[in-house]
Amino acid sequence: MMEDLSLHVLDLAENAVNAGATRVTILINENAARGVLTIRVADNGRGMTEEVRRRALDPFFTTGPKRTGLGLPLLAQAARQGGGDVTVRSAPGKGTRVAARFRLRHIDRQPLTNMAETMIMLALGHPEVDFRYRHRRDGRTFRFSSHAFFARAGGGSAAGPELIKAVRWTLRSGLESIGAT
Amino acid sequence: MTTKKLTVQELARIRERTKALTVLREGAGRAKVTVHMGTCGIAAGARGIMDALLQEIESRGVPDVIVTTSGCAGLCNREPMATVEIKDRPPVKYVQLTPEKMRRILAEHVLEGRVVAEYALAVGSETMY
Repeated sequence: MMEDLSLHVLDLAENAVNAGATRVTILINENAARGVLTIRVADNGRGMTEEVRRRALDPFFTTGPKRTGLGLPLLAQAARQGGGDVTVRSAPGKGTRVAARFRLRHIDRQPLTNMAETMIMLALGHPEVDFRYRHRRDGRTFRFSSHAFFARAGGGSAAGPELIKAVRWTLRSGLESIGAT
Repeated sequence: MTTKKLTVQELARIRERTKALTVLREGAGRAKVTVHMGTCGIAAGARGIMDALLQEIESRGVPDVIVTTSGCAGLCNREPMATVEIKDRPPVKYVQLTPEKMRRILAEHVLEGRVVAEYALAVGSETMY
């Protein structure tokens, strides 16, 4: 069980990296007017066959050796619990797109909690991958691209103290500016 | 939280300082720390472990440690885990970490070369299967 939805986002993005993605798009939309929270993670990794995709939400199915393969089933469970659902679209060679919907004010919806921390781990842990993140909250939008950031601040290197500080500051203040966390 | 904007000039200055370190990705770093970030690791608190590691690198001003993540190593019940690799030494896998343990591992093993044996699972290969 994940403690919050930003951990599910981290898990989905790590899946994308393990599928050989070089670009991972993360879209979060908190829409109070419609009462909906959507999370979409799309990658340009190797993708899944139709057979694998159909079974991707099955907790007793995995493709990895020794892997338990519980990431997507846990997300599906969290979505059902929060009054929503999960859809997975994928094709070999074309990447994968996972979309999760939740009812924003559902009493059993897990909180989003800490997207800044999730994005910091991804950007610094995999500097070779471009993480493109867009977080919309009630009409206000924050955008972040890890490669665009590194192009300005330097990177693709050891996570030095100044770079860590700059990434942390950029994500935290950006999310704060739209009233998100 | 400060609201002061990070200027393009400041970012450029950071780039200049970190440019010299880009070679480290290719293997010249002091050490590499891999935090296991599979579903099991994440559920057990791996993000907090990596955050503690990055905070410690930041507060101590360590410029040359490579931090990355990996998937499930097949020991889900011993998560959160991290592997420390120092050049020309066998990798050491640490298990059941807490942020406090991670900070100590950075200080003693990564920076001073002394393995924290009481937190270590085994010395050997990164891959378990």
